[in-house]
Amino acid sequence: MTFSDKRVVDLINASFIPAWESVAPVSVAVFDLGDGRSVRGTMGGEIALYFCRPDGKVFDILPALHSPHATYWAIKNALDFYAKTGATDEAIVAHHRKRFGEMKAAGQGELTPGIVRSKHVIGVRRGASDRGTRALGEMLGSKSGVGTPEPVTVVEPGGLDFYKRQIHEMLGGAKPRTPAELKETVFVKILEMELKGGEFKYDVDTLAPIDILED
Amino acid sequence: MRTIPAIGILALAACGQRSGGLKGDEATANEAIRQYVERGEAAIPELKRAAADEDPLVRRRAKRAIGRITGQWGGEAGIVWKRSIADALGKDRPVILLHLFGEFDKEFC
Repeated sequence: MTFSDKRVVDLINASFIPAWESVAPVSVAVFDLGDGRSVRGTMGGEIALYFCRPDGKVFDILPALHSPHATYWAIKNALDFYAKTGATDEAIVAHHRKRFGEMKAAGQGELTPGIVRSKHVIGVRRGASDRGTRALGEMLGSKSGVGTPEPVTVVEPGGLDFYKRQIHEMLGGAKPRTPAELKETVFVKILEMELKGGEFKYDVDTLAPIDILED
Repeated sequence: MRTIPAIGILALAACGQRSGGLKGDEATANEAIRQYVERGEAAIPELKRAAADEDPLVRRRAKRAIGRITGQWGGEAGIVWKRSIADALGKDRPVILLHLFGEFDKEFC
């Protein structure tokens, strides 16, 4: 819905050249129930929004999916920075170094109990003994999957600062790079999501779904 | 009495064919989608109407066509996405690049 929100759409259209790239195929889990029956579900996956100069160097990043409101302000702030500084190499490094220092001093973006719990739940699922259980856990936790009564993926309000702090640290620590050079760090290190996808088939007998539903 | 030029009648006929094509068999629908994609953004208003059709198959096909034109599945919102950062570089504006799993112009990305 974020990229259908009118304010977000108008801002993007007025100020940016929009593009997308796939980092990996979407993961699809297929549970074989026998007798030719099966259940399929997408495991979704994280996203990242990069703000780049016309030469392709990244001057800011919004990791993960957020509300249209949060996304709008992230885009607006990135745009203001670009307009004010031209996003020179020096300005990018100085800006992110300063923001990281401010957040660190204020204790902003540190792990909150809610984030710790979410990460624990995700960790338990990813550490499950069988692949089917892990896949079902990913489906339940996926933003585009079958849904869950409680949020298990780290999103705002705590999550946004948590991610932004890591982004400021990364972009303030080295010369500007391209999205291709940064995607491994953004997805694997910051979002903790392997860049893998495709179709995975599981025997339903291997599942321990009750544990997951109890979570 | 007003008359409709012959070319206008042909255009209307072609338009009706495309729209009707989305209701047809797979081959007919694919041809209709191809024609919509060829028309580009000009076809979007017509496709938006088809995307609200009572027939779910027509809705899905209309969204597929919109996705191919805009780069976003069912992207009625109005952003026309480039398919890679390489296509977006070197212009007079900064680039906003979405990295995601799957294809943004396909269902269940």
